[in-house]
Amino acid sequence: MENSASTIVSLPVTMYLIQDQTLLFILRMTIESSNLAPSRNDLMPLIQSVATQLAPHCYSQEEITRALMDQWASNYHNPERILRFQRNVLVGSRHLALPLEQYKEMNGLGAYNTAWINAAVPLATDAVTTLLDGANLDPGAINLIASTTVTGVAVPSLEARLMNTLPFSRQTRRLPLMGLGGLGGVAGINRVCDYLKAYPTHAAILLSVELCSLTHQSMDVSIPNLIASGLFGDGCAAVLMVGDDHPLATTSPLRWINSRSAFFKDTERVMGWDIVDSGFKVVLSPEVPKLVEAELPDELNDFLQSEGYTRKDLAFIVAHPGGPKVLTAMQGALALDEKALEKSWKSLKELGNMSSSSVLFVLKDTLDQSELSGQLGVMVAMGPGFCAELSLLRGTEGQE
Amino acid sequence: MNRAEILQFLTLILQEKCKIPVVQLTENTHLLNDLKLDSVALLTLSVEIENQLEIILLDDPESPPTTVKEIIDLVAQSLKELENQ
Repeated sequence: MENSASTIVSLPVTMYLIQDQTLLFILRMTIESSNLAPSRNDLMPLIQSVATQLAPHCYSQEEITRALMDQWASNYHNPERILRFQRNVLVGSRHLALPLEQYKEMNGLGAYNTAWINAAVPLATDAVTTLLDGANLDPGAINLIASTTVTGVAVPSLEARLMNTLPFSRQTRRLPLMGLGGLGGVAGINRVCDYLKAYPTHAAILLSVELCSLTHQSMDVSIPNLIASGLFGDGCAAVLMVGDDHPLATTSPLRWINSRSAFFKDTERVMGWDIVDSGFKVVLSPEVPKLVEAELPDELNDFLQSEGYTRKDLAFIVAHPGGPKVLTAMQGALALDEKALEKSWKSLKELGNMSSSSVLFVLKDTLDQSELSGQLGVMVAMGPGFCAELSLLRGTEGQE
Repeated sequence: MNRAEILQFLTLILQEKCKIPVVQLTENTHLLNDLKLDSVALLTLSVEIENQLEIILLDDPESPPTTVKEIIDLVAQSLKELENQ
């Protein structure tokens, strides 16, 4: 005690005496890491709201499958088997960026990517406008825009193009995240909240645009492409998050407590793209549900334990609806009843898998339809890597 | 194509197309319990059989085959119908 007291008292004197800049730097670091600097380890940013926007052209699974079979029938001796399989994917309808007939004329990476940019920017603008209007916030009040996508490439990136359609501040920080796939909704929220812990007065947006239909490969008659063509849809979502000291913190419904990333080594060929001249050729292995079963329970248990909780404490789960097999595997591995993932199942059936946007649609449904006050929940997604991303959340209790 | 030849044909498809490490396939081999053949692998197997032999397997979607024997029966039946046409 005596020593530490004398250290504190003598610091200003020492500062005067030390001329060497390196020593001064070390001294400053010592002060900052001691109790003399305020600790903000308790910061937990907030999820304020979510806005979603679906691609404009909605079709039933039957309509999409019939159109696909017009292209593919000659490759199968028994096309009826393919039709039957597509019906069993449990997706009822999907929204597409373009009218169905236009996909027949689409060919090559350039054409698909140009169509992607042309469709993505207006969708993103609509979603972010809805988001900001709902929070009564001016675009100029946003400090960071992160964008996540895996279905198209844009340079300048999507959030830069958004800054030309909406009046954001020229000082807005930008963070494009490409390649996270289905992981991107949860990973994006986690990375933005990491940022908000460093800047607790700031407001940030995560934007997710996924136009999976514009990765369609008409010449690829492989089973993985058949599954992808029956499963994926187009959508866009935007999430507004604020730091603890932002004025909107007191009215935000969800606190982000912490996150967990988990990378599964040597699983590169489980999911991803092969980028070929005709566009994005899907890599999709039957290992996905097996990895969910093998890796997710222990990772979730360990994450919850590190935060002082167990699975019994969870009142809600916001799960990325990767597909029927993935949700079934998750349900089984985590010993959940059907109701626990019902919003993910509903999203999958009505909209298909919209990659990183999907879990944000489920998050919006959870915010709109559930009583979250004081409730603990987890958000979970898996994606190319292969890897998982988790967020621990708690509903705020009234005006905090 | 007799039953032994169909069995050999199935072994090749399972190894090369379904990526299943088949050691010794017999008619009693169970598709799920022994080969861990899920619905996607079963689709791959069925599509490859139909495309390569240019036949249509008349399996019941409500009750898909569960053993190698049942698949061989379906293949043999379709090949026989083809011969009779």
